[in-house]
Amino acid sequence: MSFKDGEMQTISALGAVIVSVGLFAPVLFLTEKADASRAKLDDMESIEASIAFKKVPQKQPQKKTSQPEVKKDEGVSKDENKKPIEGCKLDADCKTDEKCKEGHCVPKKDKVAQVDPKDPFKGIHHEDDSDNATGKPVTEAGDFNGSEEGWAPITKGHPFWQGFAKDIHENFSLPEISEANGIPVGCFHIAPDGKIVETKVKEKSGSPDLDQAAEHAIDAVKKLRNDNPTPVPTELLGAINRWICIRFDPKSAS
Amino acid sequence: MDMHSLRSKISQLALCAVAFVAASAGAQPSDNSGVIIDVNGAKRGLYPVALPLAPEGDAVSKEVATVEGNDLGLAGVFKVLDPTSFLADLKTEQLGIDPQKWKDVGAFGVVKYRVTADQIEFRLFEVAKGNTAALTKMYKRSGTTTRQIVHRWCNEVVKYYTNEPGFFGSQIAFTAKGKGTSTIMAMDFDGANAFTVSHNSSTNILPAWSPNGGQIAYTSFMRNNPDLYVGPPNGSRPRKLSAQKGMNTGASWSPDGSKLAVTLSKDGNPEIYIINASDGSVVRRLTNDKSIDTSPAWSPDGGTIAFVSDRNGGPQIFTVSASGGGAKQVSFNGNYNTTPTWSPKAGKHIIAYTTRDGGNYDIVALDIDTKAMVRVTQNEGNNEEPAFSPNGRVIAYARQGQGIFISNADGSGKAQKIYSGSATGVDWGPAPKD
Repeated sequence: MSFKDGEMQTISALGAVIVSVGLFAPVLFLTEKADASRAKLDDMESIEASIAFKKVPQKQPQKKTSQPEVKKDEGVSKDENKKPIEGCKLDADCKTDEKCKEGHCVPKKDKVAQVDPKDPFKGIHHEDDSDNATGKPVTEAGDFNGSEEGWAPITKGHPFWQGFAKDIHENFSLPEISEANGIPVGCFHIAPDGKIVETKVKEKSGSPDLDQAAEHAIDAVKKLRNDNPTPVPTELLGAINRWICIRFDPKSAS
Repeated sequence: MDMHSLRSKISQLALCAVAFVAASAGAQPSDNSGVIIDVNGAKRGLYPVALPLAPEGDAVSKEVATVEGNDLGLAGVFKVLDPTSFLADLKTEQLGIDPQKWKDVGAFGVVKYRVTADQIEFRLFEVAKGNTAALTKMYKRSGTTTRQIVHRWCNEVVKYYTNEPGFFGSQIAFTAKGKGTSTIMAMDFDGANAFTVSHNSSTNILPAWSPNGGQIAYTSFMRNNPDLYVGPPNGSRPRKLSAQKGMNTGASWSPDGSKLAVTLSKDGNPEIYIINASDGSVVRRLTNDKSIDTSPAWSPDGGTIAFVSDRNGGPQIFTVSASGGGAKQVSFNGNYNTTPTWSPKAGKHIIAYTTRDGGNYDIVALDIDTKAMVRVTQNEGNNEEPAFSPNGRVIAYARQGQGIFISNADGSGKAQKIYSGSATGVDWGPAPKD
């Protein structure tokens, strides 16, 4: 079937009208309704007001992170009617992945021992993960999500990160005569086995030598860690699904 | 519907569209930046520079590479990288660079050059800034030596990075000890082209360059008494400037070259005096103490004379106004500090001197204003009689029984030997005129 030019224009115009009506009608309807219930501006008294609020110190935006589940000790519940959790006598009294030891349910194996070298995150994949539908991160601990950078500051104190920072610091060298303004940011994609999969310079400082010094440190640490990888501790596997980013501040911390 | 309502509705539609677009954008992965590790305090060090040999590889090209490597290696600013580590294809690159190839070997700067029959072209690249030369110079070869051309280029490189003049092409005078004699000699700052200044068979000591480099003052025993002579560096006959009874030693020129501070013992005790450079007449006596006052050093600003005195016990460094007045002790480390010399750095009041630490003599540099002290030598034999380079970046000094060495004035890096032989009384001449 073919259309002549005039027919084509008619159909196009008709389609445009239908789409426009579809967009305009609800808005007009809702607005008319809202206008009807709203007092006219001329009838209203003008009041100047200001809202005072306590100024909160400006903070760096922090990514929301899921905190580790808090394990409450038995008997500390404020629910007086709640019965204390009973101990166990047999393994059958415990969950499937637990066993009864000295009257308490304990994990059958250490988490580290559970790591499958071929699939380190086998034990923590969720079969029935419903996060997708709610827009939560689709990745699990250890699955690299290249769109996210950094992790909660709470991970900074871990010896693994301290060692990582030490390696970087030892390779972060800038000539005395070079300009040192700004702070470049470089990021690492770390695999569970400790090897560096990928690196990137996220932000440049504007001082070319300083940026080069940061790149050099990144490359040196990548080589160092790939030659002698330090496996990521189990408790940090959840952190490395994001870019781990480093701020290269050439000046000493005050 | 009136016009006001129509405009209101159009605005609301526009808002809907904006909201729709914003919502669509929000579905993209966000570029969050929750940085977790702060690395503070970069190690500061020398500037790594690559000086590849020109691909022609002829004798002149090799000389350029050798002199350039030596100059920049002594500058106190650069770390010259090992050419065997280079990854770049020099024949392909010619006078350009592939920045990544040089980054990979840790170079921050790269110097390329090309020698032709009538000129030498140099190019300096800052690797982080790409493959465009940051500095380019061409020098004609006629009427000058390859060494001089390279010195001039290296001075340009130092100036480019530090905004200070380089010292390449300057000369160092010193006392070469022989059997029963001591000769005043001079040489290029890197130890090349050594020549004799004092042509006599007597003992000659403590040379001092005039500010313009045209004269060298030194003490000679050629007439048995330690008298002060002044003559051109080329070894022409010197003139006797001061022949007072007793010591006429330790000359130090005023910045304008019109006067000298010297040690005279004409009244029995060594004291510091100012004399005229023209005729040796005494202008004023600066010290008057029963102790020994010696080794005067005139500050670059002309206002102060540093000297050594044992008035408070062991020899220590003191300062006194060049116009006279009370002396002030400035060195307090240990009980033996001698041979002060001033850094030429403008606005600074830094002196380097010889100090005794245990059984060894070493060089230290003291900022008189801040009291900050830098140890220039340590555990490297006995080091004495320091002299700053014209830009204050490095210090030359004599190492007992070994020769003359150069170290960075801030104590960084390793000492580099520039002269082998028994030497004392090191004095660095002025910056070369260009």
